[in-house]
Amino acid sequence: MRSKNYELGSGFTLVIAEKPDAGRRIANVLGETTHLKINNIEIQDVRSAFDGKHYVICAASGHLYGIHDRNNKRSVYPVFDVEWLPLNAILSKKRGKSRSRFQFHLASGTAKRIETIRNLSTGAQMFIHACDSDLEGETIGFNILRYACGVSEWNQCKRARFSTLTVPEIRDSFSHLEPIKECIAQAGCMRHVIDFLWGVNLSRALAGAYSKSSRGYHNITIGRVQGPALSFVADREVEIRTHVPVPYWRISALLSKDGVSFDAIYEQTKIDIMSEAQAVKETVSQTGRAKVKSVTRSASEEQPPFPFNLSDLQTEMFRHHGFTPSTTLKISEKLYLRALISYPRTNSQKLPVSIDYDRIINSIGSIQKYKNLIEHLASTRRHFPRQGPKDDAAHPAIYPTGEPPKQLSAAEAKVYDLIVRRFLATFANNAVISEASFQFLIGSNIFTANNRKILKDGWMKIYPVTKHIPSNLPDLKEGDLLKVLSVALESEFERPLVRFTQSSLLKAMEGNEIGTKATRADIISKMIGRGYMTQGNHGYLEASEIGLELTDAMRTHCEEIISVDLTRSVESEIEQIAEGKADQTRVLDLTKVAVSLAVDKIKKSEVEIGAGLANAVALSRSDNIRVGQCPVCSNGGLRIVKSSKTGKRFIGCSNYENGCNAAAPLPQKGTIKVQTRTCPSCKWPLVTVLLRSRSPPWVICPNISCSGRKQE
Amino acid sequence: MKCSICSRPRTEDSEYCKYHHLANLNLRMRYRDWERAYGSLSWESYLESVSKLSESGKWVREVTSRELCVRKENRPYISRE
Repeated sequence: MRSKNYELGSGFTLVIAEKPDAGRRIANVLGETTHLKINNIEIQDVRSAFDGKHYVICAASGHLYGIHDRNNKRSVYPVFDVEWLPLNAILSKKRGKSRSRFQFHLASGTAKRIETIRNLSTGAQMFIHACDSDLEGETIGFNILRYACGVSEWNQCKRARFSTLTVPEIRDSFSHLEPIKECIAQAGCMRHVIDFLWGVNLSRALAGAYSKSSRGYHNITIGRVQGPALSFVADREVEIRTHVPVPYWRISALLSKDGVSFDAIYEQTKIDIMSEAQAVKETVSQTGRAKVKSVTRSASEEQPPFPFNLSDLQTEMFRHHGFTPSTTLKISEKLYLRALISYPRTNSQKLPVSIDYDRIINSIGSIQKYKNLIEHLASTRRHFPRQGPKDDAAHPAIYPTGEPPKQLSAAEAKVYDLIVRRFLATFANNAVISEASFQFLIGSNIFTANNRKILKDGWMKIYPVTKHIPSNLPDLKEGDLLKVLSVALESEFERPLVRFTQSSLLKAMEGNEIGTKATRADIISKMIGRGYMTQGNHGYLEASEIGLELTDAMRTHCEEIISVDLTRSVESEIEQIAEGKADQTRVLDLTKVAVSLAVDKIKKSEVEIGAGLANAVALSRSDNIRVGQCPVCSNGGLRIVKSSKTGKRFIGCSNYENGCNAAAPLPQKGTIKVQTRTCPSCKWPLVTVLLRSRSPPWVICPNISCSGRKQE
Repeated sequence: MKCSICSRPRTEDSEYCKYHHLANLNLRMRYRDWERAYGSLSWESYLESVSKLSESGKWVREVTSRELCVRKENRPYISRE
């Protein structure tokens, strides 16, 4: 790596890549590269590229510019006077206290990067925008070109578009450069402006409402994508918490023939009345014999899955390996930057012929791990992959490039493996499954059983499937007699709905067209980070007090922000701007009107909204420290308190100021969980102490004067 | 006025907050289904059964516990919140 006394000269073509890894990869593909560091920023100098040109490559690191409120006053809203500024300038306008260490480094890094690009642009004859080929990439490059490089004549700029960072595709894109499509970039910029206007104004209005009730500040945010996504989780939570299970009964009979026994289910799978269920059970138990009434056999073909788009990949990685959508996105981006897979932020489920199927399959065949799969595929292969219905103009579905993977981490290997298997599976033949349905007569009651067998595994041998569990029933024909070994009557209760996981929430957002493939995972992570929901066991998302209250307040006072219609209409307007069919100014004016109306609604009811939010914040703060009702004074609540003098924790009554001295010491190590039971001797709430070691949980009554404790 | 179970404000014409009120309404609506299912069932037995079920929602269990304390045992309800 050189840094000093190196002359770049002038008249070169300046290439703007989206990330340093992508810049390095592009440079190495274009030709012999000299890696430099100017101002501590990495630059690649490609003097004799494959096409004989001189390229200088400098990468951004994501967005270098952001939207900023010109007034820069948090208490003033609605805000409509906004501008694009370098991120370092935005961060420097924040108060010293609110700037984190990370933000400090981000600001200094951004300033250096912009300065370096600006200096390089003075010697450049031409510019190539080589950021990722989606709306975000378009915006990143467009802002750098117009603000850092000072480009106003778009004739001197070209666009390099590619879906993989492989040698043929990069060289091909540099040989066939496209003109900059300003309307696409403007659409990307407009999305940022619209999101900023909705987000900043409503969040400031909510924070204002909160401070009116609590005289404090709490960062309460809402946005046009976050609103509906949060409402999905909150509404589900309310449904689960208010669920009253209704009983029902199921009857199954254990039948046997030739020593093979299996369960048959009563045709009415849910019996609502207990006496009816008991009557059926009694009749069946008395009969003792079953007769095969009918046998229906059929064979069905199951087609291979569609090629992966991002949300399918995220869902499947969660299902198979428990990876969160944001983790899957991060890893797949790494794999893309190492040229192992195509661009992952795609909505497409289609693989075009131009990617050269045979070359990729042959390349994968040279990887030892996949040799057997390729051999299996050779015997069952179809010429074209199964294509899905979804399309993306910018990129095809996710596919492996065929480059041999080297030094993958365990997590990277799992993502790569699933992508390879899915890609190969789309070329495999259908799986053939035989199904047999049996009806049995026990007295006058009908019982059923099904048998599923995989006759030809086809694609199922390549791609992991969990839903087909073969059942093993004896070979039965009509009129066969079987023994009834036993009859079971099971009492069950209607289950509540299942909570969302990150993966199922992402799918719901996609199904309702909320957000974009690139932002959905990030929004879910942000909502968890802000405490609107928590992720519990098995990854289930549970709405918090603030999440519930925020959704309820918005539904009552400003419904549009949690409605899917708003976000859908914004997306469609952005699409129209990208296609050059909509006027930006008109879209912006309409947004301003809608935001003003929403802010007014919140302002009108800010006392009510603020009180609800303040109560929810207080509840969520005390959720972890509340132990239960004080058994001594019956008015106060027992809480875990930390002594300001000694720093030690103990249980004390909230009614202390009014004379209640109820207090109890606590172990100073381990996590304290409050039990739902009370101590049988003294009625104090029991607590569990969970130590970090593998020792079992320790359930104690914290009351030191407890008679039960003394007896022990 | 606060909810009889938690610190949220009461809804109009109810001693509960909006969430516990909703749970209470559901609880009352489902009683008929339970009565029909079991033939006959006292209100107390119904509450006891619902409060013990893991399928019951958190707010429903809280309402049943309170109703049981007040109606059956005739002692003040101690909130777990």
